[in-house]
Amino acid sequence: MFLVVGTVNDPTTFPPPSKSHGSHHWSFERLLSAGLVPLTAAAFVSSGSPTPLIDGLLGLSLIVHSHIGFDALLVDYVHKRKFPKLGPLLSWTLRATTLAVGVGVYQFNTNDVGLTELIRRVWTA
Amino acid sequence: MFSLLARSSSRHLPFQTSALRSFSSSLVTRQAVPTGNNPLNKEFKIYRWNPDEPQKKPELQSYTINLNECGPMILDALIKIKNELDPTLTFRRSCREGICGSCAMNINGQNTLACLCRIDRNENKDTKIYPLPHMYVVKDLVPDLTLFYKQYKSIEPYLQNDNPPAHGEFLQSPEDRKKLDGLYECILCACCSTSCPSYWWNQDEYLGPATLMQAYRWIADSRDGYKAHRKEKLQNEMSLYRCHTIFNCSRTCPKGLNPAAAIAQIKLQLAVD
Amino acid sequence: MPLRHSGLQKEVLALYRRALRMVRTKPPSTRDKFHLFVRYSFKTQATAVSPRSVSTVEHLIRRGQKQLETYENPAVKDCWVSQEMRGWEAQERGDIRH
Repeated sequence: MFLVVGTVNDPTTFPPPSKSHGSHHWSFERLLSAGLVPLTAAAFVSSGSPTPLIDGLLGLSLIVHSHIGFDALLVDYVHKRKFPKLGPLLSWTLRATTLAVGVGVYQFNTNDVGLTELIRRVWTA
Repeated sequence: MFSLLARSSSRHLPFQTSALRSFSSSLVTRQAVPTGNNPLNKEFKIYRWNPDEPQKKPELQSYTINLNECGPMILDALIKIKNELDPTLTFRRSCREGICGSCAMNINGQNTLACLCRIDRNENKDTKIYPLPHMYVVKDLVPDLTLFYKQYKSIEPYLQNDNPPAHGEFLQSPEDRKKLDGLYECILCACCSTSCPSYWWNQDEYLGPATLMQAYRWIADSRDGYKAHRKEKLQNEMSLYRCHTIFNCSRTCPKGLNPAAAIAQIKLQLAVD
Repeated sequence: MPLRHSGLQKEVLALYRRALRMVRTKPPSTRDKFHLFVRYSFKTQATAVSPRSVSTVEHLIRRGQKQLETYENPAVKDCWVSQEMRGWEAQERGDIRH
């Protein structure tokens, strides 16, 4: 439930300014999203190379991209100002999941065939 | 009673009586007259909630009026209902020509001004009227806009400049003035903000399209000297960046403005800052 | 009496406390009237509204806050007390005595 803070004639207040939560976050998110398009194409062109650098980069970008996406979801719907317990819990769950997926993708790319090769095989299977 | 008054004063003040007489006769003859067509009965379902009985749940009340005895706009219908059917029906209205922004409401699922919205003359379909969505309701169709105005105040919507010109007024080139077109026309009816899902969920922190467009109106003003200050205030997670470019604001604006474009401009300016 | 109040109950109590604090800022001659007004407004609503109808209670809190804001203005020095409030007060006193 929301209540009016201060009298009706007081303006609302702003959170403390922080570029890392503001414009830098936004620019990074947009550049990453735009970068994923050529990166995906490049990964498929170069797949099968002995040093799968681009493949690893694609894996990392995808993880960060989805982390930002899920994080926006949490900020929108389960922000900690409204859900003081559930909000932080989900935020930490998301961080742990992202980390676990990161480790998993690293393992998969170093010890197994790698992301792009997997998709190629599943596609033609 | 009226004619008595007019007659008694007619002996002394002939000029005034004629004025009075024409006034009293206009009451009878100059009102909207039934056009004689077959009645076009249209059903309006209107959201009702009375704060004096807070335990009672809100409900839709149905009114049927003859459109041939009514003006063409939804506001005309509302006024007719209030005059003739139910004087307890409550709504805000003032200018009846789309410049005051008082009669913003949700008509058939679209936020718009009742005075600019034509009545659908299909008598088989009812018209549903609700207050602006996701706002606290004061009564019937009157939403509580306290927070909306507090947010508008928070962006300091006035010219701030520490270096006024030596004499005379602030001058502005026609090109700079042009940048404010499409921004200054906003009448703060709150149609756009209350159509925005982000504003529904996070309106205590997110400013909403109407307020953000006015924030940009002052950032874009060549005469304003506090641009950096204005931009810095928006540099946080909630105030501006809860906009996810849903575009409901631009779609619903009854004045045909484009708040989404203004928000995009702010984001762009903050990014290159 | 429950040991732990719900969030809504806490908000009502906070509002009641704020209202009582408002009474103390008023001139002594009219303080009783303000006090009666505050108590009447809260107690009659508390008996009339079910604590389960959350949206009703929320509405009453919001209305109360706005009302209180007006009363907190130092320019407000007196308030009007209706016949019903007096009657309610008398009944309340009687109840306590018996």
